Order: sequence, then C-alpha cells, then structure tokens
Amino acid sequence: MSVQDYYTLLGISPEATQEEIKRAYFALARRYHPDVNPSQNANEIFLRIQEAYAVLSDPQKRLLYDQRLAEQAQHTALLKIKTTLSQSHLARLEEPQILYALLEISPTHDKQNDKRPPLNVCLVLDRSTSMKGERLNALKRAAALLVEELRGDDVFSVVAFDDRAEVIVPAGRGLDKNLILQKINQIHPQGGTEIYRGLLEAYRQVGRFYNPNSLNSIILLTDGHTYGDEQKCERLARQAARQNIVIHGVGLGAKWNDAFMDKIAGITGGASMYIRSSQDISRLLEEQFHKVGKLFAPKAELLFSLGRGVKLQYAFRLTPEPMPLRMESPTMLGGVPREGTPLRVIFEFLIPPIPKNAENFIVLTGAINAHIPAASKKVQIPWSIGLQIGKEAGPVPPEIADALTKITMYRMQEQAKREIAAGNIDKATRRLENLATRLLQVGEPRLAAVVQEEAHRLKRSNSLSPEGEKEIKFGTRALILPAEFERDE
Amino acid sequence: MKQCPVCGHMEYEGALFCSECGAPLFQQPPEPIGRRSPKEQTRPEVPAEEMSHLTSGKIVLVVEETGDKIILNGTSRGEWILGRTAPGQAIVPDIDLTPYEAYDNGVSRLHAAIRISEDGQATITDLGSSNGTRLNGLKIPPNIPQPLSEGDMVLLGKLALRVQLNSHSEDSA
Repeated sequence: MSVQDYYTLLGISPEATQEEIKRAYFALARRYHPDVNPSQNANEIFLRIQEAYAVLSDPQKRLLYDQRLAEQAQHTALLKIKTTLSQSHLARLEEPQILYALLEISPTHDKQNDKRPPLNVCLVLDRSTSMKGERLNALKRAAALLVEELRGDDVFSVVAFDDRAEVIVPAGRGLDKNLILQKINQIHPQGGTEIYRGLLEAYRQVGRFYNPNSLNSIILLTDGHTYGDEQKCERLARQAARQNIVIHGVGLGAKWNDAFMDKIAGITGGASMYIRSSQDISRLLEEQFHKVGKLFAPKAELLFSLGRGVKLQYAFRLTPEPMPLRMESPTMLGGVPREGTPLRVIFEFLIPPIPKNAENFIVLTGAINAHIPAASKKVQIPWSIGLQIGKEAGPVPPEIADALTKITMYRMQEQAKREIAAGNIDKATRRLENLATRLLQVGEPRLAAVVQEEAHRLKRSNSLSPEGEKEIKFGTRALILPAEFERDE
Repeated sequence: MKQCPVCGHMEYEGALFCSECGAPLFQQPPEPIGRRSPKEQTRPEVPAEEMSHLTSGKIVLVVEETGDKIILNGTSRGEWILGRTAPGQAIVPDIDLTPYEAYDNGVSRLHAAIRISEDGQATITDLGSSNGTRLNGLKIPPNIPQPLSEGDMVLLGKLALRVQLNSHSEDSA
C-alpha cells in the first residue's frame, strides 16, 4: 500500500470503525491545526488530514476509495484478489435478504517468487497403543518417504507422543537421512494420547529454527481423542498462529476428534484431513507435505467490520482445503497456493431491510493481511463489499451456484449433527434422507448410500456410527474440491 | 421470504438453496452432464388407470405382476427417472412406482433412468440403487447405460417391468 493513503495518514487500519476514524482525526487535527501549529508544513498536513477525514467519514465515499485503493494495490502487491457476488445489486426490500460473496486470493505472477522457500516442518506422530501394528508401520514408511524429499536447506524434525513427548529427530538442516530413518523405525507404541505434549514439543522444535521466511509447519498425526488438554492446545495454536506457524491435522480411522482438530488447525490457517485406512497414509501424508511446500503465503487473515445490521451467517474455505471458518474478525482464511487453484472463500451475509432512499449499501469493510516468505514481505490489501440498490439482481454467477450446491450438502450434515445433539432424531433423519437424495442427484451414489445407511441407523439406534459420521463429513467436504484434486476414494 | 418449491420451507430472499432439503431455489442454466434441476422436473404423470392409449414411438413399461402399462411420455428431455416417492424427499422421480409396491419390492427413491439418445437408442442406467437393477436377469453396473431392446425384462429390486418399444397399436398386450 502506498505511504500516501488516507489510512496510513491517519494512522489507522483499513478496517477501522467510524469511531476510530473520528478519534484519529481529532487527535491529529488538534496537533496540526494552523492555530496551534503555524509552520507551513503543518498546514499542508492539516489540509491532507481534512481531505482524508472527508472521505473516510462518509461510508459511501470510503467504499469507493477502498475499491480504488484495492485496484492500485493490485499493481504493487504480490497478491491479487477477486470478488464475485451472488447478485449485482441488492433488492430494495423491507425484509432481510441474503447475499453471497466469493473471495479469491492468488499470487500476482512473478517468476522470481516461483522457488519454494525452505521448509521448517515438524512431524508429530501419535505412538499411543491404539497405533500399534499396521498403523504405526504404515506411518513409519510414510515418514521415510517424506524424508527422501527434503532439500538441503529444509529443516526437519520428528516428535512422537503418547502421554509424554519424545524428540525422535531434533530439528536440523541437512540431516543424515539414513539416521533419521533408523530413529523413526525405533518408535514403539505405548501409553495414551495427550496431544498437548506432542504439540508443545513440536512447537519448540519448529521454534529453534524459526524464520519468518520459511514455511513453518507442524503436521500432527493422531488416531485418538485427547482429554483435558484441549484448552491448552488452543492457546498454543493461537501462539503458533501469531508466528506464522501453521498446524495441519491428520486423523487416522474413525476415533479421532475431528471437531477439535479442525479447530486447532483452523486457528493457524491449516486444515485437518481424514485418512480412512492405513494403506492411504503414505499417499495422503505426502499430499499434505506437498501442500505445505506449495504455499505462496502460508496464511492470509481477514480483518473486517460489517455494515450496519449485517450478519455474517457462514464463512467457508473452498480451496485449497475445504473447511468452515470462524465468523468473527479476525478470521484466518488459510494459505494461498503458489500456483493452481487459488485460495477461495465463500461468505453468506444476511442483509437487513434496506433503508428508504438508500442508493448504496455497505456490507463489509476490511483488509486482508498476509506474509509472503519468498519475498520476505508483509502484504495488506483492503477488501470491501458494497452494492447499489434497486436494479435487476442479474443471473447467479456459475461459480457461486457451483460452490453453494456442494456447501449446501456439507451444511446439511452439520445441521443434522446439531439436531442429533439436541435430541431431534426425526428431524435429523429426514435431513440425512434429503441429503442422500441430493447426493444421488449430483451423481454421488457411493456417498449417498453411506448417508442413507446412517439415516437408517439413526432411526434405529438414535446415533450415527463414528465411521459413518466421518465418511459423511469428509466425503461432503471432498466434493467441494475441484476435479483436478484427487479425491480419496 | 420465498418458499422452496420442493419441500415448502421458507427462506430469505437471495438464498440460492433450500437449507432444509438442499434443492436449488433459482433458475439453473442447463448443466452439461445431463443433470437436472428440480424446476424442470415433472411430477409423476402416470396414473395407472389412464394408460390404455399407446402412441407411436413411445416406450411402454408393463408391470409383470399387474399388467399395468406405464407410458413414458410428457418429457422433451428423452429421459425418465424411475423410483418412488417418500415423505420429505427433495427430488422426485419422473415415474413414481409407489402404486406397484415399490417400497416392498426394494425400489430406491431414484433407482434407474431410461434415456433415448438422439439416434433413437433407448438405454437404461442404474443410478446406484440399493438393490440394483437387472436386465434380462443380469445385474447391470451402476451409472453405465445399457441398451434396451423390445421385450427386455427389467428388474428394479424385485419389481419386474417388461419393455415395449415403438408400440404402434392402440392397445397392445
């Protein structure tokens, strides 16, 4: 962003509220007012402050200014953004209405940034007794494959945990690959699952070689629930997020706590992944590893404030890893891949009744923050949504229709689970049956059959099977990925 | 507010999908893969009693058990989904086999599709039904169209249907 812009001038952030703008303006005006400060320079500054305030204090002028600023930023910033709305205008209604916005963030093409920054990755492996046998063996083989792919300047470490944590391979560069493999092979299953222990040790290992211009990541593999240390894990995740350390969760089998892992990973901009059986471990872990290496910006964060009366009802990341997002500012959007499918997030807003005589409506003002390791630069791009009122809404853009077709199905299973939790079994059963029908309709008979079976089970026994629940959740998530991504069948 | 045409749930203006049953609430452009939106769907248009008149170039399905004739017409798409309706079902089939004890016979809600290609070839495709579709006694794989010929026997679950193609008479057996 240019040094000259109004926000920088007033010393506020692009998502500042009207109150903050006013406060900043009065503080500066008092300092530079010609009556107080007679210098020629001060007078010029005072005039510019006036100009800035005149624009930013008027929501409509501010919106136009933000949009212009965003366009300018495109030329200088390393990231570009694209916004698609479900309708080109808002209807002049005396009742609430819904608006969808699809946000896409991708790198501006720049060859010099094509080289992957060095990795700083810690693999955190669950070695609790439930991992015994094929699971742990498959995991060892998978880890061995990853080691083969390390570059000389990559930092790598391995931590194993049960109810204690042990550093198997201390973080280091240019490690002896054979030695790593030997050490990984010596991991023995024992004890219970306390994720915090493992996570904390991983955080320390990544911290030892922490560099903002590396891809700092923790990949956590587990097959179980952690008990009593969830809060501590969350706090640690928040601390990691502040330092651009991204946590990715990988869950094996049916018994791990996916809601918890989604939360932990989500806080840092990562995601969780479901591995059904041991034979998929290698392929999917490698995929996850490659995803880390493909990131241009490890995490993009959105700071925002909503227009008057506007409610953000849903936020969902479509790509690179589909996942629901937090609906309060700031929200972690996730990583921006260097190439291929951009980071895409869809938002659902509930717009209040439109005031009479209004010609424009502001839905959201905010900014996207990201750090680009390859360029060792921080980027901030203003992002705002405002629409005119009263004209034809126009056709629904196909990319919005397509995204919502799939997200609607994901939300149906979320809703069904909420209904089960509230004891509303009939409603949940009906919803799952509807979901099965929808899945058939869009050509997903395999998943539809799983949903149908779970609907029967629910009716009979008032609950879902843990396997079925995960299949449905991650199955409907996988539908959201574009075809060029391999789906785990 | 607007109402979902499929399940009747009320949604806010601007909503694009029904949060209750997942049905789209807007006019979709025709999809390239031959998938259909519920808007284009026609309700089952085949009350069994009114089936005595056969018109030329149509497909007729004769229910073996009862001798009832189901005439496939009334759609310009050249495609009919066979299945049954159940309470709360978002997507209804073109041909509802409920009157023929579809449920007891193991017919899925969206069981199979009969299509006529541009060159006039009729095919049947199993839509991943729970109990499968048999053509002349052989189970057909899901989602792969199989050519249909005059006199073929189709089993949807346990419901037997005899295929008559290009019937010209006013009242064939």
